[in-house]
Amino acid sequence: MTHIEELVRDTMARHAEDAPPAGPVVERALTKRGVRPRGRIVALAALGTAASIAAAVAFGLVVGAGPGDVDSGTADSSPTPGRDVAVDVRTVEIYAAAIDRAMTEFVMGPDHPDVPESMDVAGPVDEAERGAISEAVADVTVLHWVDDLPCIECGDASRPGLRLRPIEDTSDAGRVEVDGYVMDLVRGPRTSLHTHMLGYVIEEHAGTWEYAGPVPTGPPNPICDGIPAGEPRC
Amino acid sequence: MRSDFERYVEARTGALLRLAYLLTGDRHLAEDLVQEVLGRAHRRWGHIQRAENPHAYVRRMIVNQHISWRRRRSASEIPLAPTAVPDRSFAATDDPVLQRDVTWRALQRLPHRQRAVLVLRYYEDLTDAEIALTLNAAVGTVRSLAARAFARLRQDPSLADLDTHPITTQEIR
Repeated sequence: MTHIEELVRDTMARHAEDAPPAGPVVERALTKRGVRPRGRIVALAALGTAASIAAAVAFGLVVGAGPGDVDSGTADSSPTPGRDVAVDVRTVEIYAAAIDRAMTEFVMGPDHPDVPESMDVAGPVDEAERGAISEAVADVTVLHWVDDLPCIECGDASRPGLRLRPIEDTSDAGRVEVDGYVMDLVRGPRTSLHTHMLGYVIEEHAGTWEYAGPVPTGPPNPICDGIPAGEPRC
Repeated sequence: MRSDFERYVEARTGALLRLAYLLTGDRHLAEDLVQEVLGRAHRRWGHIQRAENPHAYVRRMIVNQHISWRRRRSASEIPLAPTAVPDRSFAATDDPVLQRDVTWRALQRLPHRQRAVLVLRYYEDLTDAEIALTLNAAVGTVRSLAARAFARLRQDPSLADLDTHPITTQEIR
């Protein structure tokens, strides 16, 4: 272990001692959930529960969670630092998870650390969501948002780019199918420009939207529009 | 008679708070994070109980919820002033308290997932495979995040005098 690793380990061990005490959090967690009712706290807990249910319904409408997935402790029912209702959280999280997956799993292979330092990206998201998505993947790559990507088939492209297709969700029990993530091109020291057609399923799990697997059939290939079936590339 | 969930909360909340505090760097955010996750865990306890390692499941919820919070920040939000970056290195000092303080501040300046990887590796003592499961990422991604985190720490002016041995694959579990 290097000096800096030892310093990091020691720093974390010492600063962990500054964490808040467990007592108040335990008390709130158990009384609020009705596990440990206490006097007038019961009435307050009942009010809190009603408020939580209302918030959970709203959350369900926003993210498409199914009836079986309503959770009194959802992210939208409690204080969230820096939250902004103007941003579609579901959209941001789904696209961020998909970009993350594309960058770190499929572009260069699962053990290749050299994902592109920056990428052009185009997709059907507004300015606020673009900023939130960029921040969400900031430690993976830097996104440069563009209106559209050049045609790689025409030889117009010169740098990595990613085109985000619209999200198509099935919304059964919180499951959302994301289709049409197209890695238009990737240029690296050992690769040439080429196209990946990627489709991902992103599911809500353990409080966040995560990659759950590939779309079995893959996204539609826009290059094939207007080209007779059976032609090369289609 | 106490329920399994009650016993879990009483036994593990302290550990969850320490993890949350290292992830967020803020005592109040750490409390909010644990409070929220315990609320979710209570509702899903029947499912969590059946997991091979219920605590690992809840720990994963903590990390994911932290990342989820970060993702919800909007582009229009005015961020808090970043932790000031000293213009000179304090890492070579002989004072271990000052060294840890400087390192702590440098850790706060890391992107959240890079910091999460370091917390899980050096505080929770998880292997890279376990971290990958926690973050739902590939092992290669975990190693990449760790390598980038150390690269940033080495470039941090406050830690500039630290040794700069490259982190090799052998050093990364």
